[in-house]
Amino acid sequence: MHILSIDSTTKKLSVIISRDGKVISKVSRGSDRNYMEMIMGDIDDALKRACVNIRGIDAFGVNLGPGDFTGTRIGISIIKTLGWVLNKPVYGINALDIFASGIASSNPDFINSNIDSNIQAIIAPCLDVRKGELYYCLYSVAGDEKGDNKNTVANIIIGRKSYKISRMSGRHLVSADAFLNDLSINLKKVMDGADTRIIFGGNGIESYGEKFSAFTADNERYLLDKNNIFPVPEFLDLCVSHYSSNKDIPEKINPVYVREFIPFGK
Amino acid sequence: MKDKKDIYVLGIESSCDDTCAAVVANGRDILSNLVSSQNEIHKKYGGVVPEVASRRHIEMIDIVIMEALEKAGIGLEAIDAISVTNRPGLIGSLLVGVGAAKAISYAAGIPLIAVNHLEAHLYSNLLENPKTSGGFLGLIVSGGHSSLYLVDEEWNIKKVGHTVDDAAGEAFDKIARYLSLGYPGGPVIDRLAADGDEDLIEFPRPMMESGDFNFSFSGLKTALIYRTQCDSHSISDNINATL
Repeated sequence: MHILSIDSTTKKLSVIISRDGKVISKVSRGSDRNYMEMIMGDIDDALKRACVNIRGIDAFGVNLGPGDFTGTRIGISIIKTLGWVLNKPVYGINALDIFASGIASSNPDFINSNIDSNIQAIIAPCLDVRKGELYYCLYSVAGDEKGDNKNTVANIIIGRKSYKISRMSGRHLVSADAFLNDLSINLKKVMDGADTRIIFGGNGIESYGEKFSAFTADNERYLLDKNNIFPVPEFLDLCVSHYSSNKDIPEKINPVYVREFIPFGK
Repeated sequence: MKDKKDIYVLGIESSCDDTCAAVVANGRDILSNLVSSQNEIHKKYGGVVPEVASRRHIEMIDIVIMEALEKAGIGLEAIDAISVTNRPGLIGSLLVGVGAAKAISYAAGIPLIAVNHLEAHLYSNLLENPKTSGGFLGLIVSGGHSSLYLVDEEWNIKKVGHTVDDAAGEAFDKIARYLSLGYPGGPVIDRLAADGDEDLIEFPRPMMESGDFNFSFSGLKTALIYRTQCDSHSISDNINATL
């Protein structure tokens, strides 16, 4: 099973190919150049390094954003056309799902210790989507035997154990000022007062660094992961692998915009 | 059925607000021609909003291409070349069509031809008048362009004149927006002008004696706006009465 995925939502353009869940080739580079000039060459390079022809790809994946509007559309127009021409499924992944997988994978101690103590570990990627707003979602981490298959976005392996990362809330758009309040309302909805530990990541915790530091500093329930600021292509691949192995019917592949575009600010 | 000698080209165009795909045989016969228009979407803004156009293109591009092939009754394997508008146009809009075209070209191994859509306007005469030969003067008028091209017998294209400010269509759209006539402005103004009195108001006609082939339309637009602002019985009232 070969999967080729593209992330063109940020200042870094990435093409990644995996075989049976293992990454076998990656071309990832930051550039000021137009992604449209780079992308077919990068796809070709990644395929050559993986010694696979484009016809040998079984499924395609793409980061749907939210991200840079034009960059995101470049990746999507390429990947959905490749899927159509080659008659292969295309999986579009919300950027929050990619961050959730990344944050979970980078923090094995957080996950192991909480699960061992029967405390719910929650991953909360927070994206800076401009206009003073954050876009976030809550994800649960549970042992492979447990957990909610329908909302699972990825399976990760820590040590010898496999865990499911599952969406446990809606995706919320909220002003940075109202974030903490909004978070506690949504936590109450999904956890009903049970003991939880939450780890925050994404570029939102960098953009609103002081705010996040202030409310996490003296609260043992909260942790900051300052290393997961950009979407990592390996975790895009992880999400795509999950969806393709579960044979989920792909949703319509269109960019994720957090708000309607209103011309002239009217 | 495709004759072995036939050349089939899949054309893709997304330079402004319409998402389009067509299959043309031998540069002359249109087998299919799909246009997903965004007119209704941009109407309320009185002009094309680039980000809104790009958002619609990415939703429609693959659907329009698939339908163009389906309507032509052929598969990609019968296509000899893909052509796509890569200039000039709205950058976000262009990239959606170019992305789809590059991906088809790569995945299906079909040659890709980048097209300047202004040159395509000149070539489009061949579709309506297949016997058109080189050696003519072409006038391109749209919301973004007002230019004169000299096309010689070998189809070498040379620009001989252009607008020095607004395109004619741009002036029409802006005037229509100013007078609340709706979008696109050209057809409305054209319709109203048919019943107008051409001697009532003398508007400037710049560059008529300039000695070159260039145009100017922004002065006309400004003159009309000033005229409506200072006239006691305004042009808007007159037009509304006509409507």
